Amino acid sequence: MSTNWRMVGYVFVGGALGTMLRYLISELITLNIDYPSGELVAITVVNMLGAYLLGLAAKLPYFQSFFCKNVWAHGFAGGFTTMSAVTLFIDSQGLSWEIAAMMFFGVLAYGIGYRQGRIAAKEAKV
Amino acid sequence: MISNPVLLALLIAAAGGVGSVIRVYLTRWEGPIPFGVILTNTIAAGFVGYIYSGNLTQDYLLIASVGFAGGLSTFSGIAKAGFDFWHTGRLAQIFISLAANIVVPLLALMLVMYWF
Repeated sequence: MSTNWRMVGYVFVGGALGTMLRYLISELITLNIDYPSGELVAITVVNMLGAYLLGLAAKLPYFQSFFCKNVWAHGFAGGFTTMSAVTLFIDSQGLSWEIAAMMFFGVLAYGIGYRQGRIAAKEAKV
Repeated sequence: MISNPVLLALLIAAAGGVGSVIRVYLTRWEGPIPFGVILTNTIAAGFVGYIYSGNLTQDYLLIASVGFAGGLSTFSGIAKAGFDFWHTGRLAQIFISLAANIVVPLLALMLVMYWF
């Protein structure tokens, strides 16, 4: 398997940006809301936004270039969202309905982004 | 101890970038359920279990867990897989996929924390 170094670079930059933004948003939220509610809110906010962005990136014309797809979809949206924090949260607090709801609302957020991206793509063709 | 908060944020970002690159390669493994996504989330959860069992300082813990494991694991990939299944009418696979992405990484985390 050959390595596409340009793709690796783009994904690294996007992933780094997404991770740093997630860290800053989490810090901001957990400074104002105590654990465990703050942690849950922070995880939910980043995961919903990230899922929406990935859905948007699936169809929106702007994201279809090699650069944008790798930086914003594969790198940023993936690095911005987190499942390891969710797993750690479940391990310490137990599985709750909020976590179960987050999983389903993540699919919904992706679907909303996907639909908006598709509408925008159709309008761009007209 | 990393005293400079900007340097800490940059190191977290760099770790997240490395995790993201590994994730992109691992998530190429697809199938009846998104095996690659489950694998990355499981490795990330196992890694988090390992570092939380050790005695890293707070800063290095943040770099490894929030940075590397956060960049490696993905929630948006789960959402994408779930939506793709819904789009093609494979409802059972949505539930299996969502449940597997919770149960398998959680088991990995608990097993690693138990062993180390």
